[in-house]
Amino acid sequence: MTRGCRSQRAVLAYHDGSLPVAAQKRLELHLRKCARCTSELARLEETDALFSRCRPSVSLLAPDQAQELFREALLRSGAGVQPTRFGGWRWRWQAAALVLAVAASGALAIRMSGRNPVETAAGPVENPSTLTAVGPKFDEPTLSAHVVQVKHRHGSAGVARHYRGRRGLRFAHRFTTRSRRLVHRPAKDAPTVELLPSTPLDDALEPQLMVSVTRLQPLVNLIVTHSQAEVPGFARAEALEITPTGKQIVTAVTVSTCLPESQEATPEQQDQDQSDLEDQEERGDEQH
Amino acid sequence: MDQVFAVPCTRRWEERETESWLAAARGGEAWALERFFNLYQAQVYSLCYRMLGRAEDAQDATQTAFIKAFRSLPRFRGESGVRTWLYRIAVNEAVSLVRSRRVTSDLTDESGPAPEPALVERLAVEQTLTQVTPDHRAVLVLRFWEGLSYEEIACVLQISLPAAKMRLHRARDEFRRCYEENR
Repeated sequence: MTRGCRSQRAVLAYHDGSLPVAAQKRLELHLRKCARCTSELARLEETDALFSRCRPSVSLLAPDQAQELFREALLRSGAGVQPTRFGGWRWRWQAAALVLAVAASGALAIRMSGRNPVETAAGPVENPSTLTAVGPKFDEPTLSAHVVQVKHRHGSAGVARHYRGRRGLRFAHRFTTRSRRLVHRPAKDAPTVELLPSTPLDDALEPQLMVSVTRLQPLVNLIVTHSQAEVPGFARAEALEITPTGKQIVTAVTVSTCLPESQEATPEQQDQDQSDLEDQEERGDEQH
Repeated sequence: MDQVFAVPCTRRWEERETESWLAAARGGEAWALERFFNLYQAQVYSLCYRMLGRAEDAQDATQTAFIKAFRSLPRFRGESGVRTWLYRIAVNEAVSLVRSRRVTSDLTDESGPAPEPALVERLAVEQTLTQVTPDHRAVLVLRFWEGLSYEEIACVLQISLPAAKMRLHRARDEFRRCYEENR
């Protein structure tokens, strides 16, 4: 078959099996006479057979790899609003109603009390909404280290120290100044980060990170994810806040298991911090 | 692990299968997106792997394809099947990855000191595939390794049926020419 041969398309169609019966018979007659078309048909069949023989096998992703890939895709796509509570457009109306209710109650409270509302980075909070989410289990044993670093989305960095209170193993969120002096209050709208131990408190294997955020605007969902960092022994976690617009996803907190050495607290500081935290916790219990 | 999945399926079957969760996935619901991902990730990964020849590249392309799919799902009008639509995204991603950087196949890692003739032939095919143009590579992989029909290929590549047949013919010619040059 040459470029000028009229049977070129017919040979292809014959090879694909899409030629009508009559045309098929005509072409078979032509093939007996035309060596080029015959060899072209043989080439087509040979190429197809070659591909069939050489189909590469694929080692699929392991389930945990696939899960990690899904989480990453979900996180980066900005999708994944969880919404069993809100169907279709209804949640938008509910969110709008909630915003109006919060604004109205805030205005009423200001008028009645004459005091300024509490200021946060997100604005005045009179009736904030709180969401708590638990992340997947860490299989990183070093997370049981006593210091984790917390970075807030507004750029403020803080140190969460691991201590053992009456309620078990916990991380309390507190912030450091540049002079490394501990400030005994959390940032205004910083998330609360808590580590849930798996089984015995002493070896917190496969712990889970629990994050709570309080915001003025209603939050539809809070997703806590974590990924293994490139450096062994490090683990990072992120909490995503999803607002009713469904578009704005804010990285709220990043937690890693280590601090630069210069920021590591001395054992004396740790003891002091632990006692401070326990005192703080007790004061909180008394208030409740 | 040799995974072979059934590619041919009618549009009606897909619609029946997906109608229960597709609406929820369009609304961005996490459980539906997870279902969507679990249904198609193996197929998309296989396609990307056969297009790119490297596990890392296939993983990157799969992830990017799903990110784009999650973002575009609300605009998916169902004119084609979900799988075809997802294949289109994955093929575009793999082709752009091939174009943007020189992707080398690591399928040759299995070569031993004295490879069998079948293995030599397979490596030659994979090597030759890296030499053909990305568009031709895509159509060859879709037809011969993913088992798509001409109609499905036309739908995935967003070209007409005769154009799909012609592209496959040209791809076959180019492949054959490179293959014979390599031997």
